[in-house]
Amino acid sequence: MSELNDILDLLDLAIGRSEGVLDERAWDRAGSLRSRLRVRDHYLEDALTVAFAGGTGTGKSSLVNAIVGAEVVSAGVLRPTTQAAVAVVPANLGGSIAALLDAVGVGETSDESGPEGRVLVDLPDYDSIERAHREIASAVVPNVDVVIWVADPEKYADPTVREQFLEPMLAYEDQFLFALNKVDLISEDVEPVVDHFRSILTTIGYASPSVVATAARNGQSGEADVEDLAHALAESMDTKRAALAKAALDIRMLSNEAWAFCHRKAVEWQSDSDALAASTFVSLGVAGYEMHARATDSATDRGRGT
Amino acid sequence: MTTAEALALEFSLVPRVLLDADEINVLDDGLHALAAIAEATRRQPTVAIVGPSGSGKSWLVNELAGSDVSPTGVLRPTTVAPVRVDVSQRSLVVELVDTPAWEHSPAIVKAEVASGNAVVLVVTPSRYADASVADLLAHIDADIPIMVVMNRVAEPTESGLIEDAGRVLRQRIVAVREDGSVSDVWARVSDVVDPQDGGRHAVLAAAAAGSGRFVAGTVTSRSTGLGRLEVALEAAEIPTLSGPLSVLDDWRQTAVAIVAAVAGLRDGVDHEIGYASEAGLGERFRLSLPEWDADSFGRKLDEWKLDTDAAFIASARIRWRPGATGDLVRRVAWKSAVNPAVTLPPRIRRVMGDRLSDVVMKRFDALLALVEDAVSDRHASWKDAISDAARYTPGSLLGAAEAYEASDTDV
Repeated sequence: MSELNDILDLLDLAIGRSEGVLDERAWDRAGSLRSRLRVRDHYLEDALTVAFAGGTGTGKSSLVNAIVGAEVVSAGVLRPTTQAAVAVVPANLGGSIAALLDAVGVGETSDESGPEGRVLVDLPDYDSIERAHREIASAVVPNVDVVIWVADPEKYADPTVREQFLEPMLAYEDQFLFALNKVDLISEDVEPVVDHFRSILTTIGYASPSVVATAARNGQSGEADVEDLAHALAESMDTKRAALAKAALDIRMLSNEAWAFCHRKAVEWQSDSDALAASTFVSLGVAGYEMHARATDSATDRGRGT
Repeated sequence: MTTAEALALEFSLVPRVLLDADEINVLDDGLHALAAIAEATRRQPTVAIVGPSGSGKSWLVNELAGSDVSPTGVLRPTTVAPVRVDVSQRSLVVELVDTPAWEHSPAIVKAEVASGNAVVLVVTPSRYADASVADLLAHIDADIPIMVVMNRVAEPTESGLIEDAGRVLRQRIVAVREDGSVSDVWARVSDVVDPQDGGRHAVLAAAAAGSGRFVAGTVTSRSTGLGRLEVALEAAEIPTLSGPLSVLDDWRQTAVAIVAAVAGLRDGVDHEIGYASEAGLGERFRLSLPEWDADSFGRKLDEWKLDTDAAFIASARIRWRPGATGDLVRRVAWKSAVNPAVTLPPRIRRVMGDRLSDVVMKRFDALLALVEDAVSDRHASWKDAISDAARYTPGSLLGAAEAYEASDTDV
């Protein structure tokens, strides 16, 4: 049994003790996190889930294709292109991974297979006129282990995606990798643009964002250049560690929120059951904190891509 | 000076005397077309260039302006405050306003859109379906004309792209290639800022240029007729009086008769030169000449009469009581000065003595000089008019019309 399993047992306990204490929606959220992490635990050694998110036309699908080295998801010119979350699954996992995809919220799977140990999820855009796309993407992003946020030289500074996505997702900053795609469109030095993008992220609150420059598709000139990103994905990221870190983060966020709620209620009503639920969530939070520390500790090999 | 101003100037220099009424109408049509375009120009519409970040608004403005008026760059946002520039093509002048990206400065963009006459929305193949673009479109009043330019369209254009963007944005799309020409954009801007008639400006401009070409051609073909007039002018002798001027009972009647005689001589000049060419051209020249100021000539005759009286009195050898000599002289002496053949009463001859014939001849010569001046003046008018017309070279009009036409294709 993995260390995640131990924590999930504790989560079970917390959920049991907080029934009727947490409001219904928060309690349901805790329940669905438990289901998802149970599934995640089952595939812990198999694959990382990596979502490609970003604005319309930034080249998410093209980037997925370039990483795989084949046309695995359709990358079109008509916007917005990708309308549902599509997973590219490693050949060795095939159909056996259906439960994980289900837990993450991805309904479609590409016929082609992707790199070993990585489930790549191509998401719809975040900023197009199709609001449903944002909802699909927003539903998937919190469930995956790693998010590759794809920006391009035209829209890397858009306030829209900043407000709609980058700011709300700040809590998951460790899960993020930023790709400034289409750098082949920049006729001058790429580095100042990358620096500017990084400084915008820092301003939002991303402590040390990993930004890689990519050129997934190039229209007329040159070849695809996704080496840095592929490297960050394939070699610098330990599957289990990264998955555990994300799970730990989910747990910590849940317990922080639930503990505060139960604690307020306990003080207000002088209720022992509320107090018990609160202390259970505190224990859960501590366990999550420790697991996160272990997963990220000495994780010098975690990809920074720079 | 713009090519339109140059053409208008050339039109004003054309000797209208060389043209018949229909041709003058053509010339005036050209001038009116230029004036209408100039009037439309004075209204100088404002076109706001708007769009999402990085779509190439500043690039488009610079291309339309033909110079780098708004800095472009790869760091976003590039343009943070509106940049205004007057862009003229032919004589259509439009103020373009390069605005900051909609997502970054919506308030500035809204203000520029509201105060402008038209909007150019710049999108790209990667971001035409952005919610922010739809949002921007929703903020543009329905009565403000919108042109959508899709920038950075690849060559060849991906199939269905333009149609899809048209469907998504519900607008007609003008595609612009990277490093491509923006003349399509300019054509749409011209159409849109002149809402009375999309092609009105083009029609007027074509009319002005066509008028210039036509008039230049006509003037050239008139050179034959003008040549004949020049020859006639060279050959023409200034007519003189065929006989003595008639002396009537009193000075007033006589003066009227002299004026009529001079008018006849001047008509003779017109006849000799004017009818040498085809009737139409000579007649137009004649009509174009300054009208003879017969009243002024009449006053000169009266002065001559007074001078003549004075000359007689001054030369009189015998003086009677004061005034008597003068009265006599003033009454009849002028008659011999008008026509030396007239015999004066014996009393006058006695008073004047041997000085009479001298005074008569001097005053007679002075009168002939007056008449000659009036006739040669007519000849001089012809000479001026013909040499003015001959000096005009229709080539400069043709050149101006061609330059004006050519300016259409420059941005």
